[in-house]
Formats: sequence, structure tokens, C-alpha cells
Amino acid sequence: MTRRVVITAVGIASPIGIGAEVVWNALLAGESGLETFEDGPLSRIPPAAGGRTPVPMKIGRDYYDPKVLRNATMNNATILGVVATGDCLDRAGLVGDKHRRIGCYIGTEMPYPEHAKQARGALTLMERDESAEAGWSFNDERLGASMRFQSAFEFLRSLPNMSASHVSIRGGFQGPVATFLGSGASGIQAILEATREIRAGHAEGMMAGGAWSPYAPLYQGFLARTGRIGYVSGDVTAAMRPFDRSHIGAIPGEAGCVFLLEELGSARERGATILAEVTGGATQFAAPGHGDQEAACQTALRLGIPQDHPLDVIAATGSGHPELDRLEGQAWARFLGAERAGQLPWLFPTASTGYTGSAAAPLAAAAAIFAMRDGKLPPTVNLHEPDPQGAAIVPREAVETATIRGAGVSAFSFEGIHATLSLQSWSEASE
Amino acid sequence: MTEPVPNVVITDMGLVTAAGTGVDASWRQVAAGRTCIGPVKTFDASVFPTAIGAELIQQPPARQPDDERSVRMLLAAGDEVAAGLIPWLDEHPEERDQLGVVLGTSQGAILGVGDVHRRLRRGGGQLKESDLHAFHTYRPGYGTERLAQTLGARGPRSTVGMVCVSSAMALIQAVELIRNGVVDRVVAGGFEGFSPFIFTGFFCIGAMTKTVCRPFDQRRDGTALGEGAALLLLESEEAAARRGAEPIAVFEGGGFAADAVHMTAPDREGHGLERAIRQAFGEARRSPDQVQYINAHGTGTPYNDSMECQAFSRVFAEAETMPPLSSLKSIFGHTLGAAGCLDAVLCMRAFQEQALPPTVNSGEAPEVEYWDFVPGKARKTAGLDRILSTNAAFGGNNTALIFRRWGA
Repeated sequence: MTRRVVITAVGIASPIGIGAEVVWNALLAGESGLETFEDGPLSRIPPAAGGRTPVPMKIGRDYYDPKVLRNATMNNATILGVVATGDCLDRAGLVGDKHRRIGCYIGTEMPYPEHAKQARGALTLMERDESAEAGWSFNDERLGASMRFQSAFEFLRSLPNMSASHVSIRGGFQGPVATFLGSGASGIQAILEATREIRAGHAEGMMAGGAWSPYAPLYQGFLARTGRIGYVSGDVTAAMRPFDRSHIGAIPGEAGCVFLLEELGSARERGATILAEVTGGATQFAAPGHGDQEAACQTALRLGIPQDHPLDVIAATGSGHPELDRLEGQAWARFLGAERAGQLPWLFPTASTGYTGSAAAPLAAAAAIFAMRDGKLPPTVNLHEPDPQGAAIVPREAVETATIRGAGVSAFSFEGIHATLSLQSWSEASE
Repeated sequence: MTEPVPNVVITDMGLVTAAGTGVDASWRQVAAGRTCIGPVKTFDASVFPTAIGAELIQQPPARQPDDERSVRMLLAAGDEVAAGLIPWLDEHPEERDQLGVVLGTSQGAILGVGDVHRRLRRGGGQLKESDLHAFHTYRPGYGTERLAQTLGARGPRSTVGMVCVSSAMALIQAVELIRNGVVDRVVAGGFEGFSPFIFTGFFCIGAMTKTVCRPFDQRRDGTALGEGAALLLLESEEAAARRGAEPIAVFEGGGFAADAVHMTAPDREGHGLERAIRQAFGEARRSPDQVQYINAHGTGTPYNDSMECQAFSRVFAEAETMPPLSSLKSIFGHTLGAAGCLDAVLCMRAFQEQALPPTVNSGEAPEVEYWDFVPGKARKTAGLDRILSTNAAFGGNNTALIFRRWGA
């Protein structure tokens, strides 16, 4: 018999707050975490605005152990993943320092944003020299400066496994640990793989989700050149407009959002509060820039959302980029029928947090879980007139009473990796 | 009634190391017990007290003008692993949907983006169109996408970034995809280029040898870096039979577990690795006395090798004898994201040759006096039917893989 996987806690660090309940309340209030960058290198690179998530030292001390100097080996995304994990653990009521049957899977991007900034020493050691045997030479004069720049900690910050490893150390998780890289869907991919580990009996619990930060000058410059970024004019809090006909592109934000997934029997045995059940999910692939994205999204929805699954809310990525928004909107419209897809309430926290990459769809999933728990829906921020080429989403104010039995989550990415996840409210699932 | 879980077999392999392109080139070094580690040549590293590494100087040709060295090696290994598969896929194009690609890497195509960064710092200029290409190639998923395109694979793609256990975890993930019926076959493995950034990083954290890389020797003082790309073609037994492919081995079990202790240092007593090994034995439904050889991570750093020996000693206490064990790091250097699959590829060859790979540079002062670390050259043996291969990474992540020779 298939082992059932349930979600027992959520942890979030985002531009609209640190702490899952804080973030949920901010979403219900329609708050925005976007700001204009007035100074520093980021102020000179489009969009010169975004959603930053400063982590107060008080929280930092609560969540890291300075005795092993972990802070120095963390990049921004890792810090946000660790802080979200701390928040999740606070809520989970797990007892004990080490958990042999709990692992963690974190989706993130390669940590080159910080890498470019922090590891400049090592990188400046390299010189292109066509006359050299392998096309590279080493600049001795720069060695002294570079060694000052690069420390062991900075090297470690650049390693891709740091996100999951820090979370593992923070939580004492000794089960399977992995970082999933390379796409905006990697947070949901991590959740799906974690679910698979529990179902296969490799773990009783998994901390899983996404953590992402774009904040380093070089990476911002790169994003700007890709054409995925929106150029802000006027009120920055109104600039991120997913699914609206005036969407201008992604305004980046940084966030960490993780879930504690547990095997149902284990969760019950320890008396955990069950929030929702993971009832399905799928990942599909299409080559970036090729035309089969739509088919891949369709297949991801068909395979990931069971036919008989109660679907009362759509939790979407909402990148704010016209092309990706349309892909997401049309995929749901084709899957459910345009009328039903438009009538269902949509959740897209990116309008408040900015596009948070690997954490964007997990944040939407978290919002769906709280909506199921509380019977409330946050307002559709910055949606005034839906993009006629996308889904006919109905703008709404906050809803205080709603019956939400289940949610479908879509994590559609620029990179051609598309993931879906279906969640069922525990009151519905347990019956 | 549940569907039976498919047997996963290994039917082909591809390898590029400092020894050259092709499994044969690397095996020749293994057979002779000859190291590929020498003075660093790809950049002037003379300012470092010791600057040795295992580099592939004659790189495979670029397929696109800006192909970075790790991508070149990856695609060359892809040619070898898929040499038998591609013609069959051409005749059965619908099977491309059933081919996935799962790769591990630590830093991917880092050299290209380093060039962009240096130019920006010098000139303070703007990013150019060509710079976007460098960033795209540095994206961790890029190598996976390129290989998938080259192979015409339309199944799942995934990229694992777990440093030294990346490709071992990629193999475990690939097996799961097949066992769960997601796809019939997966090309899995890892790739890593030799770069000044990683070299400097390892130097800074004090993990680099000041003398020579000698795993499991009491005189060991650190590791040496290498580079390469290693791939295995994993298939369900039924899928392999469908195309008439003769398996080399069966993937019997995999395990991975975390220490949750420290970012760089392993659990001193190897409890995380021990759990990973026991998981692998549990999945394989085998016992330690059924293993004839251990291909260990054996980096040559004091803590890693000591930790591994302690884990082995506890696990194999229940076996009558300790099987021979060795490490390939003193031949090919530590290839990080490629290391786990490099070990696995050469384990496949060890099955075929019925020979134990040696631990080069070691033997005079073994870490454990009565254990056989296979010093010198590869040693011919008989009855090499089952191998345990282990890896460990910064962050306290450990993997164990168990392979059975096909027909055993």
C-alpha cells in the first residue's frame, strides 16, 4: 500500500516577513515587500528594485550556531533556506537534536550570484592567454590581493550543496540530503522528490522546498540582459503584475519556503498537526526556447493533478513575465476548461514578494495550505485586467470565508522544466 | 496487486579523465598503477607551495565555438556511452521519450563565467550578448540540457549539485526513475573541469596535499584535484533485452545519509557513511560477506580516510574477512562532481577484467595494518561478483552503491 505523505509544518522567509504566519497575514492584507534600491551597485542595474529579505541578527543568532562559523559559509539563498527551516522547526514540535529518518531536499539556483561577488579573488587569478597551452595563464601579481579576497568560507559559499547541507545541519537531519539546481521549478521538484523518498520508505520525514536570491550585481546584470526583468517606472509596489494585461516582466525577490513532509503514520504517532496531504505531482521537460513547452505543461498538469482531486484553488508561479504567465494561464485553461480555470481563485504571492525563483511556487503552495486551513483567500494584488491571451482570472478582494478542499500548484519555469503538485486539505483528505 | 519493481542494469559507459577520452585510456592507467597527477599546466600555479593535479591537456574538440572544457569532456563521454544506443534510437525514435538524463556537477562550466567577470572588473563595461552565453553555460542545468539534446533524449532531466557525491546521487536518482516506471533508461553521471577557482578553494581550506596524494596511507596529507566526465547507461532489464543489449552489471542497492555535523569535516567516526552503506545493503538484500571489493572515496585527506576505515570496520565486522579496498584518487585526482560515477565506471571495467584497481602511492604505511589496500598495480582476481562503492562530500553527505556483475 502506498505510504501517505502529509505536510505538518511550513517555514517562510520572504520580503513580506519572516515566519509563515507573518507572511500569510501579510498576503491576506495585500502587502508588498517590493522596494526601490536607492544606492549601492544594485541601484544601477535594472530593475533597481525588488524584494529583499533582510534577516535580523536576533533571528540569525536564533537560527545559526556561530560556534561553527556557519554564517560565513552561507550565501543569501542558503541563509533564507536555513531561516525558513528554523521557522518550520519551531512549528513542527520535533523533539531531539538528530533525526536519522528525516532528510532534506532544497531547490535553488547555482550560487553564482554571490560567487561572482565574493570569489572575485580567485576569478581574477585567471587570465585568458591564447598563447598558453590551454588558453589560460595565471597572474602572479594578483595573487596577494586575490588571496585576501578568497577565504575558505567564501569558497564554501560557492558550493551548490551548501543550501541543503546547512539545512541538514540546522535541523539535525541525517536522512537523504540533496540540492536540486537549475530552474525556477526546482523548489517543487525538491518537494516531489522528497515525497518519493518517503513513499519509498527511505525516510519518515523530509524538509523540502525552495530558496533563492538573485542579489549580486553581476547576476542582476545577467537577468536584465535576458529580457526577463521588468523595468520599473512609478510605484514599485504596483510593478509586479502577474497575469495582468500590463505585466512587464519579473521584478526579482528573494525568499526561502520549506515544508516538513511526513509519512502519515509517523506524523500521527508523534501527535503532529497535519495541514494537508500531498496527493500527486509530476515533472515534465522541454528544451528551453523550443515550442513544446505547452505540451510539457499540459502533461505535467494531467499527470500531477488526479482526475478526482478536489480542486478549489490554483497556486501559480506568476512570474510576471508575459510569455511565462501566458504559458501558465493557458495550460490551466486547457486543462480545466477556460471557464472553470477563470472561475477558480488563483494565488500568486509573487505580486507581493517579487519573482522568487525556486521559492516562488512553494510560496504559492504555502498560501494554498493556509487558505485550506483558514478558509480565507488573499486578494489578487496588482491584477486589474487579466491578459486576454492568458487565463481569464477574476480579480478579487480578500475573502474571509471559503471552502477550499484542495489545490493545484504549478511551477512553470523559463528553463523548460515544469512541475505540478496537488494538495488536499487534511479535513478533506482524512475522511 | 503492485507491479514488480524492474531490475536496473548497466549496459554501457563513457569516461573522460586526465588519462584521455574513453574507458580504455583510463583503465590502462589503472592496470599499470600509473598516476595522471603531475604539475599543473592549464594555468601558472607556481606561486602555490605545491601545485599538482590531474588535467586533460588534449581536450576533446568543441562542438560549439565557446564550449567550455567541462562541457567538451561531458559530450565526449556522451558519445562513448551512447555509441550503441543512438543507432537503435534512430530506428526507434519513439523510445527517445523513455530516455532521461541525470547529471551531477560541482561547479559546471565555470571557466567561461570567470572570463566575463574578470573583463567586467577590468573594464567596468557592460555585459555583452556573448556574456549571456557564458552565464547560460554556467547554469547547472546547461550540461544536462546539452547532453540531452546531443542524445536526443526527451525524458526527464535533472541536475544534482552535491559536490563530491553529485554523480553517485545522480546514479541513485536515475535508478529510482527506472524503478518507479517513469522511464526505461537513463544516462547518468557527472562532470567537472579543472579550474583555478576550485584549485584555489581547496588550497584555502587546507584540503590539498603538499606532497603526493596517497589515500589510506598514514603519511597522507591531502588530496589532489582532477577533472573528467563519467557516464553510465542504466536501463530496466526488460528495456535492455528489448534492444538486445548485454548488461555489464546490475545496480543492486544505493544508500545516502547525512552526518548533520559540520560543513567541511566529516563525522569523525563515519556514522553517516555507515548508515548509507547499511541502507545500500538493505536495498540490495545482501550482506557484507557477499562483497569482494570496496571502491572507496579515499581522498587522501586525514579525516576522510580515517572516517571511511572506521565505517568499513563496523559494517564488515560481521563478515568473515575484510575485502580488499582501494581508491582511484591517487590516479585521477579528485574529480568532485564526476568522482562517484568515475568510480562506478571503473568498477564496471573491474568486473569485465576481473581485476582490482590499485591505490597508487600507498602501501608502506597502511591506515589499517592488516587490510589490503591493493598497493601498486591492478591485481587479477577471480570471482569478483559484487562491489561496494562509497563517496562522501563537504556538508556531511555520504553515498554507497552496490553493483553485481551480470551473470553472477
